[in-house]
Amino acid sequence: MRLLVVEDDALIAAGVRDALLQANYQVDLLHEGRQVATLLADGVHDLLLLDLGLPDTDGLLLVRQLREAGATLPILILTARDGLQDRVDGLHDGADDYLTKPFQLPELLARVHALLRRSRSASTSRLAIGPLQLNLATHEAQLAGEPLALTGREWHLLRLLALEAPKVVPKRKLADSLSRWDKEVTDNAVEIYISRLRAKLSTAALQLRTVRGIGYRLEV
Amino acid sequence: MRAGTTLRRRLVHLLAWPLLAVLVASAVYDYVQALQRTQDDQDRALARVAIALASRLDVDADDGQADDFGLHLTRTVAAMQRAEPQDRLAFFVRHADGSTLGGDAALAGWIAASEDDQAAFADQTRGGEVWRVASYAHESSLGRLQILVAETTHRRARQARRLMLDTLAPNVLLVLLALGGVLAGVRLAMRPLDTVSRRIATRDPGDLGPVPVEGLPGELTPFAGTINQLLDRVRESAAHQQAFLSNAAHQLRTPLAGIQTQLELAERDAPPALRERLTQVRAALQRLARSTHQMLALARSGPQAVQQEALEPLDLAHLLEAAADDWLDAALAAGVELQFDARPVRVRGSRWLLRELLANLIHNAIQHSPRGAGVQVSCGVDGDGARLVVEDGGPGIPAGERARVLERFYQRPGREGGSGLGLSIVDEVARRHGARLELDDAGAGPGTGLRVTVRFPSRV
Repeated sequence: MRLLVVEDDALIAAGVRDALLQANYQVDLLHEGRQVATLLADGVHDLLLLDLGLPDTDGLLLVRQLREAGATLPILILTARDGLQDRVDGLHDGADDYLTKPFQLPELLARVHALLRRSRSASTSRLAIGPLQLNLATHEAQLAGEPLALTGREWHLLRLLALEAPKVVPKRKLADSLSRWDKEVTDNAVEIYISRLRAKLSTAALQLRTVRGIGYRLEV
Repeated sequence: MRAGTTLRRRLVHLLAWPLLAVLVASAVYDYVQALQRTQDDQDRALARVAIALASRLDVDADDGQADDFGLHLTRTVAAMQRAEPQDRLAFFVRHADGSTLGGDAALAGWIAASEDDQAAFADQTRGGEVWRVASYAHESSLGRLQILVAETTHRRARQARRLMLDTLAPNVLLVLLALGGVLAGVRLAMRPLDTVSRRIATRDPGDLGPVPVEGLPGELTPFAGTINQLLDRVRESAAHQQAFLSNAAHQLRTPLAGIQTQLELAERDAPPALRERLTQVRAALQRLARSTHQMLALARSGPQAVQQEALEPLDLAHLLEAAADDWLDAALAAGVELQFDARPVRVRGSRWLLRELLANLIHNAIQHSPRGAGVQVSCGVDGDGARLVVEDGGPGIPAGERARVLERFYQRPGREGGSGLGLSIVDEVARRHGARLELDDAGAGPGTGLRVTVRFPSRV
C-alpha cells in the first residue's frame, strides 16, 4: 500500500511518515500542495493524507479539483481548525474522513486502515478485518481460514460492522439498513442477530463490543 | 426618554392636548357669546314691558284716570303674562317720593337707581326662584316714577340649556374629528419608522450586514448611517477575531501535533527507564492540548465571541451516537462503562458547540468515576423542551460549590489538575442555546455521583 502524505510542518510530516512506515505502508512525502495532482495522476497511490493548512494551497479546493479530475482514492484530511462545519465542507468536497490536530498515532493508523479496507473492498469485493474475510460478491465469510456459516441478515450486519469498523455503529442504523434490505426489522431483532453473530465469532480474535443504548463496534 | 414612551405617543400628546384646549376654549366662548346675546334680547323685552307700563301711565294721566292706574297696570301685565305663560311676571310702580301707584309692594326693595328712560337690570331671589328685574325711571306728567318689572327665569334657564346643547354637539363632533385626524396623521407620518424598526427587528441575530437605508425618511438617514458604521466596525472586528482564532488554532495545534507525534514514536523506541518519563511528558502534553482546545472553544462560544454560531435543527440522539464513538476508547482505558439512553429529540443548536458541551461533560464524568463505575448519558423530551443528562459514579460536587465550579479556571480544593474550563464551556454553550444547566446528586444524597442536566426550553 502506497500513501501520499502532504504536510508542511516538518515535525508532523516526519512523525506521520515514520509511523506509517512502521505500519508497513510505503510513504511519499510532500511539503507543498502544488505537485499533488501530478503525483496522483500516476495512480500508484492508495490513500492521500492531506493537511488543510498548507501555505500555498487551499486544501479543500485541491480535494475538489482532484475529485473533478476523477481521483477515486480515499482522502484523509488533517486540520487544525475545529468546528464540524470544516468536516461537513471537507466531506462534501470529496474527502472521506478528517482528523483534528493534535491527534494520536494509533487513531491516525486506525483511520488509515479503515479507509483502505473500505476502498479495497469496493475494488476487490473482498473485505478483510483481522481473521475475518468477507467476499462481497458471493456473500461468503471465512474466519481464520475456515468457512463461517451465516444467515442472510447476519451476513448483512457483519458486513456493515466490518465496513464501518472501528467506528461504533448505532443500532438504529443497523435496523434501518436491514429494513431496507429485508422486511421491517426492530432494534430488538437486531439485538438477537448480534448475539447469534457474537456466538459464531467467539472463537476468533474478533470482538463485537456492545455500547449500551447506542450500538456495536467490531474490534480486532 | 422614559421607557414605554414612544415618539408616536409624544407626538399624539403634543398635538392633541393644545388642539383640545383651543377647541374647548372656542366652544366656551361661542356659548358665552350666544348666551349673552339671548339674555340681552330678553332684557330688552323686559325693558319694553316697563316702557309699555310707562306709556300706559302717561296715557292714563292725560285722560285723567290716574286713580285707576293700579287696575290698568294689572290688566296690562296680565295681558303680557298671557303672551308669556311659562314665566310669572310681576311689577311695581311708585312715585319718586315713595307713594305706591300700583303692583306688588313686596318688590319695593328691588328698585335700583337708574338714569331717566334707561333700564337697570339685576337678578333677585324670592321664594327659591330667581327673578330678572328691570328698574326703569320715567319722568311723566305725574312726576318722576320708578317702574319695576320682574320675571321668573325659567325660560331663560331652558334657553341656556338648549344653547349649551346646541354648542356642545357640534363641538364634540369637531373634537372627535380633530383627534381622529391627529391619530391618523401621526400613524401615517410614523410609518417609515415602523418599517425600519421591523427591518431591524426581523434580522437574524448573527446578521451583521448593514441596515438598508433606501425608503427611509431624511431624519433617520444619519441614524441608520451611524448604526451601519457601528455594524461595519463590529463586522470588521468579528472578521479579525475569526481570523485571529483560526490562526491561533493553527499556530498552537500544529507544534502540539508535531511534538505529540514525535513523542509517541520516541516512546516506542526508548529504553524502559526513559519510556516512563516520556509517557509522563506525553500525558502532560495531552493536558496542554486539551486546555488549548478548551480555550479556543471558549473564545468561540463565550460572551466575548462576536460571531454567533449558527443554530440549526438537530437530533440530540445523533449527538449521543457521535459521542459514543468519540469517547468509547477513553472510557475503556479508564475502566468505566459508558451507557446511553438516546431518545430522538430535535432542538435548534450548533452541532459543534453541543459536541463540545457533551465532550466536556463525558470527559469529566470519566475522569471522576472510579474504575468499574458507569457513566450514563441520556437525552429525551422534557416537558415542552428537551434534556441532556450526564451522570457519573464519582464523588459528586457539594451543593455549596456547584455555582463556583462554573467559573473559569476554578479548581476545587484537592482536585487540581484539570484546566478548570470544562464546566465553564458547558455553561456558555448552554446559555448560547437558551438552555438551563443544573448540577445535582445522581442518587439519593451526597456521594452518589454528579448529575448534570441541560434543559432546552423548546423543541423543533
